[in-house]
Amino acid sequence: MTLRVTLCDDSGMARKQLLRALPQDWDAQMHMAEHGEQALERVRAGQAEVLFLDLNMPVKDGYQTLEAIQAEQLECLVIVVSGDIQPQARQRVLALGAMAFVKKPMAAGEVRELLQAFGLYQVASGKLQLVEQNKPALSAADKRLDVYREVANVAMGQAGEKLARMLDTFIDLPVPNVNFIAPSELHMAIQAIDTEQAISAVSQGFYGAGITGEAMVFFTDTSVAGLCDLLGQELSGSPRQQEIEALMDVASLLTSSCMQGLAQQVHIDFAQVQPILVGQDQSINDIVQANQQRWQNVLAIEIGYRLQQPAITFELLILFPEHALPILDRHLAHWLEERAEDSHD
Amino acid sequence: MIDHELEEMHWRMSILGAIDVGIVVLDNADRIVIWNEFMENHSGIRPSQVRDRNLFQCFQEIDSDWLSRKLQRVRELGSRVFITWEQRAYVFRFHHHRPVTGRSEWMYQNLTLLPLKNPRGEISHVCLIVYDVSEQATLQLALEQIED
Repeated sequence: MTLRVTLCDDSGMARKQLLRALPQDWDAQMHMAEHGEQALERVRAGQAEVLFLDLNMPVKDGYQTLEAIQAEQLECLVIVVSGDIQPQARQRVLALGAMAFVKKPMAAGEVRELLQAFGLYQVASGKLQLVEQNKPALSAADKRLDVYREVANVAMGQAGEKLARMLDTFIDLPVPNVNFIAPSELHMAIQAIDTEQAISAVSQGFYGAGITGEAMVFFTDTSVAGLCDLLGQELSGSPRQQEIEALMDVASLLTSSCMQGLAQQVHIDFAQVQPILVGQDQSINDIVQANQQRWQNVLAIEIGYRLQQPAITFELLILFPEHALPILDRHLAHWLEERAEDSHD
Repeated sequence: MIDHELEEMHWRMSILGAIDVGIVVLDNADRIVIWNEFMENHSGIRPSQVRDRNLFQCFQEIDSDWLSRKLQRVRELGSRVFITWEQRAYVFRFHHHRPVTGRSEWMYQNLTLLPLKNPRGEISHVCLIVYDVSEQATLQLALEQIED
């Protein structure tokens, strides 16, 4: 019997990560919810026999959602997936009737064990199905993200086109993921790229109009090898130097052209700092974790580029710290207002 | 031109000469248009000796096939290209600025290649910005040796 499961997280990146971590042979039908209110609708509609629930969300947070489930005596097994791993958070959600509390990011093995422990999953019992849903009307916060997303979309397209020319191959362009993320989620975004392989990253700072930000491009080892093959004759030096050159060339082209695309739309001339390689001697997660006290809320634009022939993927992550957001909004004011008018129609 | 504009331009030229960064501007035939004092001081070659001459003819130690491809990318795609010392220790062979106590014979360099547009919006020149990163490079290499 196919299980109905809802993933509830306001971050698209987080939902994607969780979806990737679930066993692909799970006999389950997946529904998505972006906040607690939507999650409750799914529960009431019988679309959430199991609910993966984030805690920090707009509209209705995880605690309020648990309270409502209790108050309405709804039938639903809740697994809280949270970046907030304080003991109090765990106690509170368990007291509110959650079945389990796990920290973000969830590893594939961890999810499987958990589901098996509760008798919800048998190996090779079926296939994970994702149910397509109509996009609900956007809230003001979503609208703002929607504007950022569109700006990112254009920039990403420009960068993709240049990259395609450089590599002489076709590149699949995804919808960019635009989210406000907390440090734990950046950690997660990086893990979501690939949990099995070592990752190299090129980081490049940029600044303009009082904004400082950082663009990072992540490559798995297989994608580095693929790019080296693709750029073959253009590269020089030792194998290691060739790898670095391939990474630098692809990363700086993507970053430069994406920043150029953003710059045109927000009318800010971003200057770029020399890119550096990170994660060679130190794991990227360590670097991110070591610095997470310094910043709290970051606008993250995540773009996954995919080459078809050969199959190579890499991710561009453009990060704007909190201080940059009012400046960005000022430069996007025209768009933001236009969007608000649209919604009255 | 008004006096203060002339004065400002004069300052700009002085500043361009005084900053500790190499600036070379090439036209689309790779001829040298600007060669600042950093480049002059490290190479011992005066601007008058290289102006309007082809970069690769003046500096035969440069891997011309390789750098030409990077320049072509800047001109065709209109985007910046960055070259780090880790992929190639240097593009211009200059002596380390501390020849005695420095830990390497040659200057490690990072380069930024920047497209320059004419008033019609066409890319007419490329600017090469050369950073001396010898200190950083030798420190990092020493650190890697300790770790190994």
